[in-house]
Amino acid sequence: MTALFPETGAFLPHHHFWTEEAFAQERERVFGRCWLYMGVFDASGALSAEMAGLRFAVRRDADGRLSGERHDGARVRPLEVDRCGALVFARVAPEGADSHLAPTLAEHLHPYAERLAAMSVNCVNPEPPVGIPFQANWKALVENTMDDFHGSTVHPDTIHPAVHPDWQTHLATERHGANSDSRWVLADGTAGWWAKLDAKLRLAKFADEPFYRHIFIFPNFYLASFYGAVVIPHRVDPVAPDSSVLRWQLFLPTTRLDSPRERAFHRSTAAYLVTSAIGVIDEDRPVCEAVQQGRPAILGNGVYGRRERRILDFHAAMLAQLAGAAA
Amino acid sequence: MAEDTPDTRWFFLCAADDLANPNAFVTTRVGAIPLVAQNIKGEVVAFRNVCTHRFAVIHDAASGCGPLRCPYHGWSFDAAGVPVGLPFNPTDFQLDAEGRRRLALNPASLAMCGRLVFIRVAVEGPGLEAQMGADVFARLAALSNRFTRRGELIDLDPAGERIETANLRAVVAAAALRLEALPPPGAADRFARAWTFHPAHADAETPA
Repeated sequence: MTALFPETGAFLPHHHFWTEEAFAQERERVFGRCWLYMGVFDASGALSAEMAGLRFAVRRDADGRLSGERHDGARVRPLEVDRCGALVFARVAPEGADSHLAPTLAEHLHPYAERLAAMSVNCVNPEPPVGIPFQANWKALVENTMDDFHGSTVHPDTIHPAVHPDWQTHLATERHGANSDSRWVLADGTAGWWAKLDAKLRLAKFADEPFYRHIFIFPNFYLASFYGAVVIPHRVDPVAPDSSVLRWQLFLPTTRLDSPRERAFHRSTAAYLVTSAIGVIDEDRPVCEAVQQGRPAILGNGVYGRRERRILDFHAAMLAQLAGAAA
Repeated sequence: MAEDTPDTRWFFLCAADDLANPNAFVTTRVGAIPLVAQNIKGEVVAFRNVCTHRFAVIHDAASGCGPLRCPYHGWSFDAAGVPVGLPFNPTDFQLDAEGRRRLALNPASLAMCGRLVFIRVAVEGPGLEAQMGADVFARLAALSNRFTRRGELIDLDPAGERIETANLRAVVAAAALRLEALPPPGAADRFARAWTFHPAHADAETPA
């Protein structure tokens, strides 16, 4: 049997998905301590984010120095800010005797720092950021994105036909503790569509790979990519115990955008891709919200199939993070 | 004696007619617990309306006609609540009979009073008649038998019934019940959902 019936203690208790108490604990021990994705700098050199009621602000000065602070009501603490390629991350600067034990950004991203940096080269030609609210706990969204086999039921007309018909054979999933990566081989028709787009737009590619890929970084970041070209950083922002916002930004990188015609085509293609992505997320939203509504009533621990182990990895990482000593 | 909590109380769900067709279902909530009563191959059964795999609510609609199948990963369940349709079971789960049995839906209770269907979260507890009282139970059962059946023409009672009374009889047969769903323990009040129960419609989709 490949299914895993988890024992109590091997995953987060169900009430962690709706109680104020668990939310407060996550606010302090997860979002108050971990490296968190802030975004990709634009010309303003400033980024801001709000997670679990904590406000983050980072900036890059004229000399390229990075700084920032976290606001927790009236309490302000300095942020440690670092980059992985174009991707900007921050965390509350560790204090105390054990501060030297806190992982560096590269350690936190392990083993994907190098791959993420290579992918982030494509964070050019940004589309406006998008935020889609979910009436569900942020972890329900994380579970959803790490679940590799709901395509045929939740996305039967969108993602599912876009990947190889024999996706089970071609799906490759890597698990490295809290972080993981999944990649699907694109269907021939989809890859052909991207090839035509490539010929017309001269896409910038970080790799020649006919894949839909996403790399998950604990606790709430994942970077999706198509065809080794388009990259879409996502972050799941907790708003309340039962609500969250999925924030993402699409980058359609090209090697050249010279003529008005090229720019117009790029604009319309990017708009099409953004609309398509919103369509896919609108399919995920009802099931995440159905889980939010259903979980308080369940009496068992569920079961995890061969392709759902990433979810338990996430639960294990959360349990470890929550078990950390109070700051 | 069982503690008198919302879980142990019977709540009106629907008329028996609403569950008469194969695959017909009616849902409700008691507190934070979604419930479903469903006709599966002629047998009317009740469960917590939550998939045991990854905890999604199975039927989102107040009523309708369709298999007991989770929208998330397509698991479907038989009249015992045991998952019988598991996409990718050979590759991803390899659940045998015992494994499936462990993942049976959490059962709920059903009871009839005449043509009225009542539902309860708890599997154990006093019967509907005991909770309601024998006299009220008998009167309600008798009354329910006078309710108009789905698709039935309403004739005036030959014993001098007025049209207003006949109209009332038709309306009462489709009585609406409002339940206030409570938040689960530890959740903020805004987690609660006000749930207005509308009885199944006569024009609900019928199975193919």
